[in-house]
Amino acid sequence: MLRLRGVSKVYPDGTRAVSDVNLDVEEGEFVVLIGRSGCGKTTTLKLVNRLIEPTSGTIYVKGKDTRTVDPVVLRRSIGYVIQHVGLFPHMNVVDNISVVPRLLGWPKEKREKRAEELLEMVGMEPAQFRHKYPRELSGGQQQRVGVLRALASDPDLILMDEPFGALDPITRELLQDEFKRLQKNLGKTILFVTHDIDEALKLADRIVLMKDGKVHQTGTPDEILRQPADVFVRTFIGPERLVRKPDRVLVEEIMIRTPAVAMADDGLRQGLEIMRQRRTDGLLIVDPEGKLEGYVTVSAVQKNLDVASRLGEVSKPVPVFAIKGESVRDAVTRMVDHRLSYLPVLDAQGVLQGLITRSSLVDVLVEMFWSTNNGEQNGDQPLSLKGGIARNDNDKDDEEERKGDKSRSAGAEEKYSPSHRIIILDHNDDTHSDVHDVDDDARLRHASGQ
Amino acid sequence: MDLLAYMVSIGDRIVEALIQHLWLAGVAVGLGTLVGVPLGIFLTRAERVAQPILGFAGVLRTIPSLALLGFMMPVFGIGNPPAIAALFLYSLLPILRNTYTGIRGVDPVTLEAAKGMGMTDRQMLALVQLPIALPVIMSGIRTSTVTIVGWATVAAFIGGGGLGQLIFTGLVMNNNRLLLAGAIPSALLAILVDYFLGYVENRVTPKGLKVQRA
Ligand SMILES: Nc1ncnc2c1ncn2[C@@H]1O[C@H](COP(=O)(O)OP(=O)(O)OP(=O)(O)O)[C@@H](O)[C@H]1O
Ligand SMILES: [Mg+2]
Repeated sequence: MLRLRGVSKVYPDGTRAVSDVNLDVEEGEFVVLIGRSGCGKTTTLKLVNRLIEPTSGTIYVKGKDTRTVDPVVLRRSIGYVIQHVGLFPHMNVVDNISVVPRLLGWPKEKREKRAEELLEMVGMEPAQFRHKYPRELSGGQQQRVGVLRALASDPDLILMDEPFGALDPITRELLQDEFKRLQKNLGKTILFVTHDIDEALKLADRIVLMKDGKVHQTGTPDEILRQPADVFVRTFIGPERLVRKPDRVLVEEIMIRTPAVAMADDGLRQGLEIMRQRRTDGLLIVDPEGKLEGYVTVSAVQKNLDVASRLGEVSKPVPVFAIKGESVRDAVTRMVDHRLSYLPVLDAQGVLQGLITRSSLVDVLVEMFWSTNNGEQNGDQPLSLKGGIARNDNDKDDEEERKGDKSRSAGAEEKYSPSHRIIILDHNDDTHSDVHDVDDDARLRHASGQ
Repeated sequence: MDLLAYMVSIGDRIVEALIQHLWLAGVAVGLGTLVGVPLGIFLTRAERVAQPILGFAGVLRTIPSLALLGFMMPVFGIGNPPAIAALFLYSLLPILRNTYTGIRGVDPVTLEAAKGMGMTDRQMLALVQLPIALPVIMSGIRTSTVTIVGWATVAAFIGGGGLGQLIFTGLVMNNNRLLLAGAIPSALLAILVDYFLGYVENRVTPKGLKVQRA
């Protein structure tokens, strides 16, 4: 629907407002451009309807290079909600809404019918409002009319520049809800500008985060929340949003990355030794490629010390596991359903990635709770999830944040240190009663974990 | 009483002079509007020449009226034509300036909306800029007219018609009653014209610009 290729804009005074932006907006997609004030959001929008001409690069609307289209024709075909509403003060509500249809030469009756239809759609009684002038309307009503004006001629593509900007939070939420519903029903393609991250998270199919005229990160709200590219994105999103949404946390973010493992051909004594060193009461069995084959418990190993030689002989298949990319919420549901205290995390090929245990979950929950209650007051950033993400994130950009937050990351590292964590307990197993060989410490944790 | 009776007795002359007076002022302001409004619009699109031209029109206005009339005589002779020419030049500035500032004063946000909706330059002018600037332009015409109605009396000094003739004759003949018979109607005329054009100004102001939220 809309494609920007290497688009840059340098204003005559030398301001580089947009630089080398590439952006695709699919049909029916709701894309939100977000970024600090002055990062080039408005400029980007205006480049699309040629209110501003690019210094370089090409913009395609419905496959057509916009330079080949008469700007007036182009603009009439694209809905536009400008940053400060900009209703025509000398025109009443209906005339304001009907501007583009009028330019397109619709007959008066059709225009008015359309305007009334739209007013009804946003809950503004036409009889009451049609003859009012912008100055007689509240801010919220004006913004609604501003949006309707962009919808009037039923354009496929709509550009919206902070359409709900100057509103009180309650009215804003109302309008957002209203608009989201509207967009779903009408199936419009929308490029939407805001600097309000909550608005972006709420409305967007895809978020494009801009910084200094460049696209800094793009992704679905989930992706942005889960994998903020760097400290800038993180700060922009705000730590409280990163931690407060358990359904947005992925299993790989909280899993232990180095669970105690052994191979099927390892001996039983060897297995016991690994368990002793790692202070666990079980081992995950993997093949040489790292694929998960099963698990053994300390009791099973002990019982069969004399009859078996390989761990493979006493291992059992793993009944349930989580797949990388799954949300913690789903994983926890499964753990509860199967009454497990651990859950291996695999990738799509079945290769073991890590392990979720009850205690790692508890830590996460506690720290979420702790951070929402105390984190903000202290001005301190919430520990666990941020730390957890930092630790697990393989992204190179992450180094930046780690350096900046050494103490915190180190703290998180320690918390997640596997040796304190792994307590494998299969509820259906008989290990409950005889975990004698596990050291007291672990047993204690085991007991409290139950 | 005496004066009133006198004025009634020369009522025909007064009415004739009044009509001439209005005609003089009307033609001058009409021309001023015909030239001033388009020129003002043009200046909003030609910023470079706007200041020099507005400045020049301002200078014209500072030339004493009699002197300006004097300048007109070599070109237009005597009688009404030089008077109209001079009054026209005087009327120009307020109209020109108000047209220019009125259009320039339209909120850029509104203009951007208009452009973004896909209006051509002409449509922006006709549908947005002129309607919004109209009260300001009208107020320029009003100021202009009221001033010109006053200054039109001077036309008599170069042989033009109007109420100035009564005043001028009264002065020359040392006839105070005649002088007043010209001066009083011209003063009343200025007040009436001001009132009437104030009404027009109000009428042409778009309703949306008048209303305020209750
Ligand atoms: N006409 C112009 N001439 C020169 N510089 C401009 C012009 N318009 C914008 N800029 C500059 O270009 C940069 C980007 O401006 P833009 O309006 O696109 O920002 P924005 O992201 O929309 O900001 P905001 O959130 O405040 O609306 C800013 O530094 C701004 O000052
Ligand atoms: Mg902006």
